[in-house]
Amino acid sequence: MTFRFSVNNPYSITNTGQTHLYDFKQFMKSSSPTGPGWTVSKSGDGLAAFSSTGDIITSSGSGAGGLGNTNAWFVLQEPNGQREFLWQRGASSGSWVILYSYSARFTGGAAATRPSATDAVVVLGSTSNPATAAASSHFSTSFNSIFHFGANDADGYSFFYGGYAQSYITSNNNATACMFFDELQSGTYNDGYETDPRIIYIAGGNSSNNYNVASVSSNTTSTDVSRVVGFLYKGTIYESFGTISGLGYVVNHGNASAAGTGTGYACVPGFVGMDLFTKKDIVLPIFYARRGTDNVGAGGFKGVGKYLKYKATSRPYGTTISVVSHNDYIIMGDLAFPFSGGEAQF
Amino acid sequence: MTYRFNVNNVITGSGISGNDGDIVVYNFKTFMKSASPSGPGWTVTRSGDGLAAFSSTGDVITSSGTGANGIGNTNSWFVLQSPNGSRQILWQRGTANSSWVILYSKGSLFTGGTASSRATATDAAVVLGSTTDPSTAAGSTHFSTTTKIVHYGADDTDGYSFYYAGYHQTTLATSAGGLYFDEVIPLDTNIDNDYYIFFVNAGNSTNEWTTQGLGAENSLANTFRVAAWLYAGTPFQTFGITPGAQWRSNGTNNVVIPGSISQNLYTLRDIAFPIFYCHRNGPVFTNTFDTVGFKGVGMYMMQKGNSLATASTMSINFLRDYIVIGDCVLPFNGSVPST
Repeated sequence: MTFRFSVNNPYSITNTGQTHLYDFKQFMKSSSPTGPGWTVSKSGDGLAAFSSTGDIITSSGSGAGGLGNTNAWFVLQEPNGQREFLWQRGASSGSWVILYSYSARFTGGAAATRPSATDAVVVLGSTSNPATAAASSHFSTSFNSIFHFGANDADGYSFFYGGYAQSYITSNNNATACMFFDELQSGTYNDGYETDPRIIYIAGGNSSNNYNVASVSSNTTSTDVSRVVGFLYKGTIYESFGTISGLGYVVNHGNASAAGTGTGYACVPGFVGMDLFTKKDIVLPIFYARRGTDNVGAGGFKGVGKYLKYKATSRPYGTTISVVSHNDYIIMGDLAFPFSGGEAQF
Repeated sequence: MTYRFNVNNVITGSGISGNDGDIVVYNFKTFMKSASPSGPGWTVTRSGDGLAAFSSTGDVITSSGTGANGIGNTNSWFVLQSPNGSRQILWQRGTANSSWVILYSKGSLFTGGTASSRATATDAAVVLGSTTDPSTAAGSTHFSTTTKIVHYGADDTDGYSFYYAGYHQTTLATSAGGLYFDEVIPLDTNIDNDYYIFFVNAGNSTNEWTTQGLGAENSLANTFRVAAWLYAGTPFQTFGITPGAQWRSNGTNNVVIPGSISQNLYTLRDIAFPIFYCHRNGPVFTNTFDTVGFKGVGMYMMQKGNSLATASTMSINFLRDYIVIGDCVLPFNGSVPST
C-alpha cells in the first residue's frame, strides 16, 4: 500500500463544505500516484444534471454542474468496485448526508434525488433510515480552515479528510469536519468471519469533541453527531451497523470502585509522553468495541485500527511527528493521521 | 515457548503463625527448578535458611517447614536465576508465613549473603517490600492465610515468564496473593533490555488480580501493583509502578475491557485482550516515580473480554488453555480448575 496525499489545502469561509468535498472528490478520483483512483459511479447536481455512470459535478459552486446546490450528490466507488459512499449536500454548504454501501452499490437517483442501495447505512444524517436521512452539520461555516486529504491507493483503501482553523485559532480547531474510513489490522479481527473489517470516524461541525477521544470513544445512539461507526458481526443474525467505540486507555489511579467502574484517568491519548529511548513521538493503536448495554446492537469486539492512531503525548493541532519516516503523521486533536512527510501549514 | 504447569494445589490455610505461604513459595521454588517438561528449569544460585545453613552456589532450602533448611524460618531466602542466566529474583521470608520481600536483579545478579542475611545486587529493585530500598526492604503481606487453590505456570524458553496465582477455595475470592512475571513486547524491541513487568498481589485485598490492581498507580511497594523498569539503561531509568490500562468508552466513563463485551458471536467463544502497560503523566505522588512512558504490551497475561467468574477457563487455542482469575486471564494446562 501507499498513502497518497493532498495536504495544506486552504478554504475560506465562503462556500465551506462544498469546496472541501469537491476537492476531496477530485483527489479521490485522481489516479495513483496523485490520488487513490476511486471512481464517481453516479452523480446529480441538484438541479437538472444527472449521470448514472459518472461524474457531472464539475465545480464547487452553485448552478449547473455545481456541488453547491441543495441536494447535489455524488457516489464514490473504491477501486476494486465493491464499496461505495454517497455524499449529498443539504440546504447549506456545511450540512451533509453520508451513506455507505458495503457491496450492493447505489442504483437509481435523479438530479436532485440521491440513489439508494439495498444495504445502505447512515454514516451521517439526522435519522438512521438511509431513505429519509436528512443532512446534518458536518463542516463549520464560521472560520477559514486548512484541510488535508489522504488515501491508501491499494490494500483496504482507507481514506480521510480532516483539518483545523486557519491562523491557528485554537478554540476553533476541533469544530469542523472529519471523516476517516479505516481498515483494521489483520489478525485483530475475526479472519474468516469478518467480511467488513472497516470503521468510519465521522465528525461534525457542531461539536467541540471533534477529533477528541470523547467523540472517538462515544457510545451514542445518535446518527448525526461525531462518533465511530461500523458493522459488527456482519453477515450473521447479530449484524448491526452503528456506533462502535474507539476505546481510550485508562488507569484507575487507585480510586476505582470494586466493580471496576470507578473514576478512570486517561493514559492514552496524550499522557504517556515521548519514547525516551529514541526521543521520538509514538502513536498507539485504537481498539474498537461495543458494550452490549450500549443499545446499538449486539456488543462485541470489532478489531484494531490500522492507520488512524491515538497520540501518546500532548501535541497541538497541526504538529507533524516522525514515527517511522519524517513527518509521517500529523496530530489533530487526540488523533494521529498519516501525513505526507511535508510541513503542515496553518 | 512452552508453558509448563503445576496446577490445582490446595494449600490449607493455617493462620498467621502457620505455614501456608511457606508452602506456596517452597512448592513454587521446586516447580521452577524442575527441568522441562516438568518445569522451566531455573536455578537456585544462593540461599540461606535464616538459621545456620547458607550456600553461595546452590539451594540449602529443602523443606517448607521450620528448623534447619526450612523456608519457614524468619529471614530464610533464596535466589532464582533464569535459565539463560541473565536475571535473578530473590524471595525472603518475613516474620510470618504470609510476609515476604521480593527483589529483582536485571543483570548485575545477587552476591554475598549469609544464612539469615539476604544477598545483594547493585541493581536490585523492590518488587514487594515495605520500602523501595532493596537493602532495607522488610517483608510485606503477599499471601492470605485462607485455604487457597494455587496454580504455577512458567515458560521454559523464550522470555521465561512465570506466575504463581490462586484464589480462595470455595469462595473463589481473588485475595489469595501471587505474582506474575510477564514478558512484554516492548516499545523498542532492540533497545529496551528489560522487557518484563511484575504484577504482584498482596493477599489482602479484593482488588487483587483485578483491573483495579493492574491499573493502580498510587500503590506503595508493599501492596498490589504492576512494577517494571521504564527506560532501563538510560538516564531516565526508573523501577516502579507501570499500570496495566483498561479500555473505556464514552471518554473515561464506561469500562469496556475487561469484562463488559460479549463473547465472540462469530465463534461463540470467550475472548481475551492484551494488557498495555504505561505510566502516565499526571498527578505525581511522593511514593511514585516521575518518568512517564509506554512500556509495552504484555505477552501472556491478558484481560478478559466478557464477564467470567474466577476459576472459569477459556479455550482460545486448545481446550481450557487459559484460566480466569479476577479480571486476569492466565495460561493454563487444560485441566479442570479446582474450586
